[in-house]
Amino acid sequence: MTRFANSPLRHWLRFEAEEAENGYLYSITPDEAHIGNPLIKALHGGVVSTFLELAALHELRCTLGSDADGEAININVDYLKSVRLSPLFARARIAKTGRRLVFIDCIAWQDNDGSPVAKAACSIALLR
Amino acid sequence: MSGRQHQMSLKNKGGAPPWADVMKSYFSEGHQLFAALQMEPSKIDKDGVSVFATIPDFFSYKDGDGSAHPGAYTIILDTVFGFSVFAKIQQPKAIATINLKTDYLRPIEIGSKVICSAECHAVNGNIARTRGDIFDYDGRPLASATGAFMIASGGPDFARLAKGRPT
Repeated sequence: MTRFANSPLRHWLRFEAEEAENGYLYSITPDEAHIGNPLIKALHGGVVSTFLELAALHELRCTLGSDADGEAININVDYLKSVRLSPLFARARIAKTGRRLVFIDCIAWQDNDGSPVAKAACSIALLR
Repeated sequence: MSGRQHQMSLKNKGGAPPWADVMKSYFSEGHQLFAALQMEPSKIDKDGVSVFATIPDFFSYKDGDGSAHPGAYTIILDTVFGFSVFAKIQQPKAIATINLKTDYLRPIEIGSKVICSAECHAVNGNIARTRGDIFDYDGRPLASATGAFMIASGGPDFARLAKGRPT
């Protein structure tokens, strides 16, 4: 349903979007290719940012319809904990939809959703 | 992927400082992500760091469109920001990104070559602040960002990395 459903980026990240009762659950399954710090085998901050932005774009299309397309203006990511080499999950929440702009907040976790590892705020310009 | 070995020798002709080994080890030990982005440093000193990079094809995210996902910018910026902190404190300490704010100024195509310039402009206690930009080879700004990093108080980790794996 999305234009990036089978994109190379999605394959590289092993990005999945699963419809659950309370909205979409996004995930990536990182491996050695996504490491930022080889000593502690932590996921690269830019990989986390890319994942959360993909989740935000997916959320936008699921909420506004598959015709909706947007381009991120900026993204602000807070890294709450180092992210280990195990599946990373996220949820995205649309904070505000306007005629031209959409603001989306994302939160990511690994072991349980009560222990977030990163959060992001993404501003997206709608392309119509 | 060729020519990875010589990259960090530049600018360190007159006796490399110890922290330079850290970055050397990063680039020459086959760091998969940095290799994929073909990151090549061109300048590394206290005043700033510049690194060349190429947007890899796996950043393609739209059908029938050669545009790259701008997340590629965040990977380059986060990396170069980290190097700018090492270059500023001139010590091989462990660092972690606290936050990264990136403005996307211009979309980019897969395979494009870019240059990222960054500086660590302030260190307060164990918090380092960075700012930087990505430009294309025509000098057009593509992205700009600011970051905050935590500098670990202990952190012999990176020194061990450089020592434990001779390049």
